[in-house]
Amino acid sequence: MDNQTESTTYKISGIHCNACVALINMELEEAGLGVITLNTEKQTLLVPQALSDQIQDIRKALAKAGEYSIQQIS
Amino acid sequence: MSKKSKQNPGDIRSVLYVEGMYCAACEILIKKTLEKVEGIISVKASISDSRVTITHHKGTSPDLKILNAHLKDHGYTLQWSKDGDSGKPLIYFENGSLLYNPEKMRSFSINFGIVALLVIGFYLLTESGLAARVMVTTEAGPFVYLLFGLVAGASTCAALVGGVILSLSKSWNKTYANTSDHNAFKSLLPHGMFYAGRLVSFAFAGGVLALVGASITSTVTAVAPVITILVAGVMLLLGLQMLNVSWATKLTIALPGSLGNNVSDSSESSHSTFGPLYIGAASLLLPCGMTLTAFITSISSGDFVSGALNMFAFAFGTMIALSFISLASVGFGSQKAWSGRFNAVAGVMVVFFALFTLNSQLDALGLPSMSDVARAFSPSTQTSATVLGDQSVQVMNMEASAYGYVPTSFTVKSGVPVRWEINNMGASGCTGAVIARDFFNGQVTLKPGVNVIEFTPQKPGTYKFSCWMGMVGGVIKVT
Repeated sequence: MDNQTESTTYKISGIHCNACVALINMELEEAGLGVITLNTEKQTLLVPQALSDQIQDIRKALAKAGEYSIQQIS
Repeated sequence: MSKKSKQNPGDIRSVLYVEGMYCAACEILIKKTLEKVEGIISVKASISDSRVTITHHKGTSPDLKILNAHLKDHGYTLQWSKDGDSGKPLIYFENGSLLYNPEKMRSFSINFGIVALLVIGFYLLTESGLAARVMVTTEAGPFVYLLFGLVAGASTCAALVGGVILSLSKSWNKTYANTSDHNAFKSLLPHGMFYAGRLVSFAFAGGVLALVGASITSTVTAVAPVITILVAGVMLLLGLQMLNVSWATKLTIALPGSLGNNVSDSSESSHSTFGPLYIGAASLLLPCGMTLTAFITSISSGDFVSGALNMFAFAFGTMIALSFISLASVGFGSQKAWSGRFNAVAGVMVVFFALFTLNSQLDALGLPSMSDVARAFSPSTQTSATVLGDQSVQVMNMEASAYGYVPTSFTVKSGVPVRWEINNMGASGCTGAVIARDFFNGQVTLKPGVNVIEFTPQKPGTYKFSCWMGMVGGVIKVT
């Protein structure tokens, strides 16, 4: 959990360029997960507490975008 | 997001070029973005050639402005061609006005100018009678054959062999040079192999023919038109493929068995094969006029070494001239900005050479050709044959030179014997022998001075005569 105890942070791997970022955002949006924040500098996904039970949907959306994977770090 | 409709057999695919696509993620992003646009059925983006193929319904056309508006935020720009052309045809109607596409018109004008210059240059060189100054005789040595080859390579052989080189250069460039470590050596390698094969086969054939002797001369000349027509047909197809004529690009020419595997330009292993070597060796079967003249003259050299040396020298001479075509094809083919123009110009030239060759052979075979149309519109050079004394013989007088025959049209009566007196004033190459298949078999080789051919025309009609390769000729009208 992050220090605000409202979100979970995931390390995301496989991002190489702006196209990757745009693709991931597009797929998350289409999956109804647009509130998830992608931090490109830290290469992290900030998943709100309300979506914590939808981690499989997030992984599916990422797989649809390309070869991206996430690992919880806090 | 628009609702996607099903793909139908009549759907159209449009190919566009994209700037800013660098990775696999770009391909997917472009695809996903454009597939949301109304009217688009499916999209395929390819990073390897920076192309985006859009499938849409028949009768619709992708609006470039709308597509680019969708891609703008991602940093991509679509255009109809690599050079940013608008995609409109050369000349088109819009709002009741006849308009032209400035980019296409500029490109067309340059290409047309280049083709016109090349065609005029080819015509002037062929008609210049330069070959008459470099005549090969039975006493000639390798140096004369070298000069003769030089002239041949720049004139009649440029049409046939040069046309073949041009038509193959595109696939050679793709097969041998389109690698990550692209370099000049790899680009020139297939051309080098082609000429190596050509030199060896000419030398070998020259030596063997000198041994076999003149007994096969008539066979060689008899099959020449058939071989030439086949080769010209293949050239025509390859030229149309270079010009991206859709039906022609769907046709492939397959060679039999293992030769086909070696010559194939689509094979992964073709970098290490010797296809161009075989094609170069086989190019001795391309009977451009001067090549056969050299072969037939070389036959009389009598021994293997002399025959081989003469024909090696001849092939070397043609190689010097033809290598300019090779260098141009490699130089322009490797530069993206020029490869399109080169293919367009080369495609037109190959088609021109193919039609020129086909027309010549139709004339040689006495069949209808474009020459008939040209003759109908040219100033009349018709000459009636002189009827001698007791009206038992008609005499046709004609002069033959390296430039052609004068006059080119005669009128004679049927049923009366004709005495055709041909004054050879320096005929060479093709003009050195006359054929008229409707009146006599085979060809009559012209000796210096007056040559006499006798025949009796039986049926009224218009009949053709020509030099033995059909390059120049005329008609005999029988009344």
